[in-house]
Parts: sequence; structure tokens; C-alpha cells
Amino acid sequence: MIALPNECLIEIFNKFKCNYRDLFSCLLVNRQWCRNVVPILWSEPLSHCRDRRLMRIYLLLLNVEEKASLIPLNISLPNEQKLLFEYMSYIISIDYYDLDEGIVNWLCEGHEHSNGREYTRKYLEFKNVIQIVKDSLIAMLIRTNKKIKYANLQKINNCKVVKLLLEILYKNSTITLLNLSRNEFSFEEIRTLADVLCKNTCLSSLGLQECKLGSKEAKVLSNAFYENTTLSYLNLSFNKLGDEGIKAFAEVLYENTTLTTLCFSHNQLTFEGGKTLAEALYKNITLTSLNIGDNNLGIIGSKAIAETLRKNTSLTYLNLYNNNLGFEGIKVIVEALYKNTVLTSLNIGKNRIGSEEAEIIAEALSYNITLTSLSLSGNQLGNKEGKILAEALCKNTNLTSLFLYNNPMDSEMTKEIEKMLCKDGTLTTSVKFRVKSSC
Amino acid sequence: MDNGTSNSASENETITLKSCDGIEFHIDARIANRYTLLNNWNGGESACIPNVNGKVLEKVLEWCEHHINDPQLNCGDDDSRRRNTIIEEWDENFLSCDQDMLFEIILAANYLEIKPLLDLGCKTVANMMKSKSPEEIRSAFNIDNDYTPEEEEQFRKENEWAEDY
Repeated sequence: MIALPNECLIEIFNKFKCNYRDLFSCLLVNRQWCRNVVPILWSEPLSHCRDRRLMRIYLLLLNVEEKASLIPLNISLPNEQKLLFEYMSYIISIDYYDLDEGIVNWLCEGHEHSNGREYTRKYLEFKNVIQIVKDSLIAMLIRTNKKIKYANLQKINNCKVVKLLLEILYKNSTITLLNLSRNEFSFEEIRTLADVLCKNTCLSSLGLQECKLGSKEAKVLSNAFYENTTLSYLNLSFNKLGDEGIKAFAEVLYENTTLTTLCFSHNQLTFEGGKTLAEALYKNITLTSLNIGDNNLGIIGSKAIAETLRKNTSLTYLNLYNNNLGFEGIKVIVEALYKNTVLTSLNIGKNRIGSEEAEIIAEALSYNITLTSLSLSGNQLGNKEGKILAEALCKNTNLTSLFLYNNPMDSEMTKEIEKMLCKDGTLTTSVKFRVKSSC
Repeated sequence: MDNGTSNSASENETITLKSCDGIEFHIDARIANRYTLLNNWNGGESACIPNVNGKVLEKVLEWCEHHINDPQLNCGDDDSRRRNTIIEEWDENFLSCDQDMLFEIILAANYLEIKPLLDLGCKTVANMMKSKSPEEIRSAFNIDNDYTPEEEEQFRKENEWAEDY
């Protein structure tokens, strides 16, 4: 065979990216092939770690400290052996959840679960052990990482692992997408995370949902965004930021020009927080997506948001789900849409929208406002309101998605609406709904 | 050098390329225009492409000519292109040459940065390896096994999880 350079071999092996069996065969051909296959084969192996043979390799790589926490658990560990490659250094994504099944299988040697129910039973039985093993494995993966881009590290609950992670991020690792949701960080850890964000220039996305963060933490974290110039996606949903916390972030928006997506849903925000946020969005021209669903904006908050919508020229997605908007609130927001030409997606689900509001919305739709996607799920839209919407859609050519889950509307009516969306034969349109059967 | 061939190159315009063994080819200027590296050798009197001989260059240019009207792929398509191993009939016939020629074409396409041809050649080789054992691959491509038996066994053990996926 004419010798191909490594770059051509890599190109060939990449064709087998999802075909591990063929990669395995190539790996055993000779040394040159092996060197080129290993980085591909080991780039995303975690989704296969339910395989005991793979779990064995992971466990082999634990260092003394990582192993120490497993000793009291009295679980069998593979005998020490030096591996031929630093396999872990090729991993590009780690997901905390992928490890569960592999650990359960390891613990139940010879009794691998045959179905989902049995797996759940074993999972619950070993829950605490799994957590400890997982923490050790994650520590090992973080320690040995050289290429990780995506890290989903929800529920670590181990301060040593958190510390290690923060240290690595501080030194600017390769991680770009990081999900740290459902971790209960101490205030000190949040402070360190803020320091990390000031310095790190790799992260582009950070998830901190359900971390019990309050206004104090929000203030510390928000300060980092005066310095940070790479993070564009920040999700702080399901925390307790409150108006004070939101205010801290609103102030950041006057200066920061990197953030494009902010999620503050379910954060005890009221009209005050809504107002400060709305005011900041007069000035900010980089934020394109804002989720403040599941809060309590109320009428006053809606008015502030509506004022902003009339002037803002960057926001394309806005979620105001379940915000107690009321008739007045819906009215001002919808009226603002006549003036706005950039917002394409709006969620005003679960805001007790009935016939009065439906008429206002229908009128705006028939005026052909810019929206391409509208969610009205979880409201009180029956057949009568459905008819009004269907008629409006006759005149609308922009809307392509309409969400009507959980409304007291029957299937005949939803079909009619769908017909109206598809009237010009463009099949890009879709109506998505579930009809309440009990009504 | 006149780079005015840019997008406006007309059908009649031709340029001359010379292989490393001195064979001249007169090709449609639009081809050279499409692949930057071909363009680099366009023009100069003694301009010849090092590393690619006449036999191989002829094949490469034949492929380029057939695909002259293909849409240009942008970088975003890279991943889907990589994973897709479907090959069109004309290309399949074109590449059902002897193995040495196939590898020569891959080398030339890599050297001349003709991405779609490189991709096609690699797909063809990958398809030839599909579902084969290491031993079958070695004999199909006449490759020597330079592993020690112990080493081979250890690599097998460390990577055998992959066999089932």
C-alpha cells in the first residue's frame, strides 16, 4: 500500500465516527493506524460507559486520592495496570448522567438489569454509592482533560470536585459549554466562580439553574460580567434572585456587549425587577433572547416591557409565560408589537388569556406583525376564541408556529386554525396543540 | 499573474498546468478558479505541479471537469459531509481504479486541497474497510502488522468495548 500521511488516515477514520466496531478493527491494524484512531474513538466514549469493559478503563485511571473515597464502599476495583494511551485526554464532552448506568452495571457484576424498572430499583438501592463513585470519576475526568468542550456537571455535591473544576476553569480550560445546574454552591464557591468568569476566555455558555442562588450571589456573579467578554448564554432559571438580583444583572446590561441570551425564569421577579430590566434594554443592543417566564411582572411590569419593545431593535425572543399580565398587560404588549419589527418569537402562555385578549391578539395578527412563533398555551381559549384567531390568520403571512397546548378548544377548531396557517400551501407552518379532553 | 479569472472566467478561457513529469494539460479556467492551489500554478511558463505525475493529474482534472457545476460547499456542511458515506454512481465508477491509483488520487487531492475529491476518495477507502477484521484489512491493503503480540493483545483489551457499538 502507498503510505498515506496521517491527515489522510484521519480523514478516512472520521468516516467511521459513529461506527465504533470498524474503528476498533482499524485500531488493531498497526501502530500508525492506532495512533490515528484512538483520538477519534475516545472523543465521545461516555455515552457507552454502561459497558463494563469501558468502566474498567475509567476506574483504572483513578489516582490515589480519587480511589481513597471508594475504599470504604467496599466495591471491587480493577487491578492496577498501566494503559498504553492517555485515553481520557481525547474526550471532548462529559455528561454527569452518562455515568450512572455504567456505575450501576459495575456494582451489579453478573446481574445486569434486563429492563428499565429493574434498573431504577438498583439505581435507588445504590444511590449514595453511585454518587460517590461518580464524583471520583468526574474528578478524574476533569483532572486528565485536555480537550473537553462540553461539560454537563449537574448535581456534583462534592466540594472537592467543585474546587478542582473551578481551579481548572481559572486556568482557562478548553470548556466552552458548562452546565452546573442543581448544585448547591456555598457563597465562597460563587465568589470563586465569579473570579473565574472575570478571567476565563473560553466559556460561551453557562447553566446555573436550580442552584438556590439569591440576590447576594446574583450581585457577586453579575459583577463578573463587567469583565467577561466571551460568555453569551447565561441561564439562571429556578433560583431566588428576586428584584434585587435581577437589578444587578440589569445594570450589567448597560456595559456588557457579549451576552445574547439570558434566562431568569422562576426567580421571584416582580414589576420592579421587570422595570429595571426593561430600562436596561433601551441601551443594550446585544441581547437577543430573554426568558423571564414564571415570574410576577403584573400590569406595571408589562407596561415597562412594552415600552422597551417599541424601541428595542435586538430582542428576537421573549418569554413572558405565567406572569400575571392581565388584560391590561397583554394589551400594552400586543400594541407594542405593531411598532416592533425584530421580535419573532413570543411566549405569553398561562396568562389567563380569554376572549377579550384573544380579540386584541387576533387584530394584531391580522395586521401581520413580525412574529413567526407565538405561544398561547395554558390559557382559556375555547372554540369561540379559536374562530377569531383562525380568521385573523387568514390575513397573516408571517406566523409559522402557534402553540395552543392546554386550552379548552376542540380538535375541529384546531384543525381549522391549522388550515388557516397552511392556506398558502407552505408546509413550513405548524400548529402545535393538545386539546383538553375533559372540557 | 492575472488573477482576473475570478468569478467571471468564461467557458472559453483555458489555462495550462504541467505535471511533475512534464505533461501539459489545458484546462477550463473555471476549474483552476475553483481550487485555489490549482490556480497558484496557473500561468508561469515553466510552472509545474510538484509531487503529482501526469497519470494522476489527468484523473484529478477529469474529476474536476465532471464536477465543474457542483454547488460549492461551505464549511458548515463539513460534519454532515464527513459522516455520509453515500457515493454517486459516476464517482463510484471513476474511483473503481486500481488501489495504487486510488491512493495517489487521495494524496493529490490532499496536496492540492481539492476537498470534495479527498472526501470522496476517503469514503471509498472507508467503504472498502467496512465490516472487516483487522487481519482482512491488512491483507486487503497489503499492510504489515508491526505490533508485538503482547501489545496487540493489550490494545484489544483496552478498546474492546468499542466492538459492540
